[in-house]
Amino acid sequence: MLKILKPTRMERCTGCGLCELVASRITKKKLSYSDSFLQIRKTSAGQPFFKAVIDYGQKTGYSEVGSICPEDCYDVEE
Amino acid sequence: MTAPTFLQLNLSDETFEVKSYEELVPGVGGLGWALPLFEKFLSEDPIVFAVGPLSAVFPGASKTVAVFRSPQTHGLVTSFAGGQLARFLRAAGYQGMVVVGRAARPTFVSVDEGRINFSDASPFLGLDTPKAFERILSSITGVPGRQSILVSGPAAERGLVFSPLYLDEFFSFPRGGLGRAFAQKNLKGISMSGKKGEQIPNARRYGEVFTALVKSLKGYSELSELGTLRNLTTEKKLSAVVTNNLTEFNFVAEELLAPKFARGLGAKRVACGGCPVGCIHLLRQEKRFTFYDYDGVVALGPFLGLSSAGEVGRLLERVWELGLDPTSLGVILAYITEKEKLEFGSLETYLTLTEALFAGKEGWAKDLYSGLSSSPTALTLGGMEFLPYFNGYASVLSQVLQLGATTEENRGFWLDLDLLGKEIDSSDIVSRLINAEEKKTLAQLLIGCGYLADTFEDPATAFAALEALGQGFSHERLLGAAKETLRLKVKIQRSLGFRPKNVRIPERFFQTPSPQGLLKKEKLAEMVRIYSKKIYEPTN
Repeated sequence: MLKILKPTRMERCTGCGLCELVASRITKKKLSYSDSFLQIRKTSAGQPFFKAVIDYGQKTGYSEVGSICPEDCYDVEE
Repeated sequence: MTAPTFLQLNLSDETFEVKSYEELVPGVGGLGWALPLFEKFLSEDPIVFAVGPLSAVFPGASKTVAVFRSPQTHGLVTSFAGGQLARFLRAAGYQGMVVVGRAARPTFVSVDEGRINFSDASPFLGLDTPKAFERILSSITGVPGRQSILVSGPAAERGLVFSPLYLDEFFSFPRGGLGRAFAQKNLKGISMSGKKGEQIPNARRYGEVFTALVKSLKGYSELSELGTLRNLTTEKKLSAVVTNNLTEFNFVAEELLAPKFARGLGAKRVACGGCPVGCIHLLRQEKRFTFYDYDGVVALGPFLGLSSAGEVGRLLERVWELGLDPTSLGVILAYITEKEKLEFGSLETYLTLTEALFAGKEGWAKDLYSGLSSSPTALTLGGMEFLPYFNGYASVLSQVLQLGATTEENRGFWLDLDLLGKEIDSSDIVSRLINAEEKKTLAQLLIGCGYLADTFEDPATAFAALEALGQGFSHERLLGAAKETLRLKVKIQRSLGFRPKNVRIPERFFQTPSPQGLLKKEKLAEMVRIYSKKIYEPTN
């Protein structure tokens, strides 16, 4: 069964971006915050809240990406 | 190692240049790059920003250093900020930025990798700081959170020399007036974005070091949960919290302590780019979020005799809107309160004074635009308002020597705690402080957060992380670079006219008890003499 990364608790996100960094390293073998299936964006100016934009056209179910989150924002689900 | 690449912005003719500096390679990074560039461009009144080799690619290496000539002290200032600047400087393809010249019109500079645009900043002038961020974010292309934005606030535009530079809404380059330095250049702000990535020279080693750093940073859970305001609890236990312009001590209302403050007003935490700790705590007042830290709360709370978290929150929010430095403002408000024989502990008084100071319509307020005078009750050290807590000799000495204007940078703060109950002679205190400064400088080459010092001041961590990036610095070279950078810092301080022995130390520092007892004027003067003779004067 295909596993996917689900941002289920994004209200906790602090915007550190470590998930983007790890996703790029795993999928592209690069150090980048932009070059992967995952991007963290602010919900709007002036608000300290974030959303994860995930390209589900690619493989996303990497446990390493979910587990790097210090705030436990993600689940990897089937 | 690849030569670091800097973006050089010339505001006078709205041009830019991208330049790599082979000669900076031995400096490792961060402060080791920024100081030589500051010296190189000194005649052009530069503002230099730099990241380090670990920045944004290892957890916790999240800061950017700014080096500039302070509009307040006219001397060298190094200021550190987090936010997302380090990450987006690197993603734009730069290790830093040099800003020279003065713009003919109010200017905003947008940087998107190699695309640089100088535009009219007039629509952003005169706005409250949060509004300026909102307006800028709505006017630039790209989605929120995919760029870093630097902005000076309205106080900087009006000419208050201690106005800081804000970035990414909830972060700042504190102390020394970087916001005012921007305004003097007619520069309202800069946005930085990019999407560049880098290959990993040693992927296996990188993974090992990354994992070890994540594990190490999990040890900072208290910093994460309580923020830097946790220091107030330590200070309270030591009776080191001073109040009413340093006339009384041992004042702290329980609701200002970190757990209660966070429970009462805390609403959210945010992190710097690439940092799992996330120690930036925000309070929510009505619809707006405002960040707070230890330095700001202690300056606008206990030091002014305020004991209500709600009142301190209101003052913090107004300070942020006006674009003022909370630490500097707290000391200035305390000075005015005593001078004018006003009542300490009155929020309404402080809000009124802050508005009047900002407006600058009356003579006293206009005079304070350039900072505090040399009045006996004006508590400055080395030209800047002192950090309003009172641990003992080392934290004061560090400020006298211009080695630490924030708690994050002031290694004397921690050294004093180590010295409690010990009888240490002057020479030993100076030696210990310099030793701590050298370790701090190593972290400032990388650039690790000052609050994560235990991790980033360890040469073994630095060595392993640099090795993973294919940069073979030995322990000896790293330590040598740190010493050389500190030497250069002192040399530049000296060339800009700073003389430690000439720093005025207000008598009140010798009249109020510290946890080390009453400080002795002669002992502190002896420390300054020892430092001048052994460290400062031999540096050429």
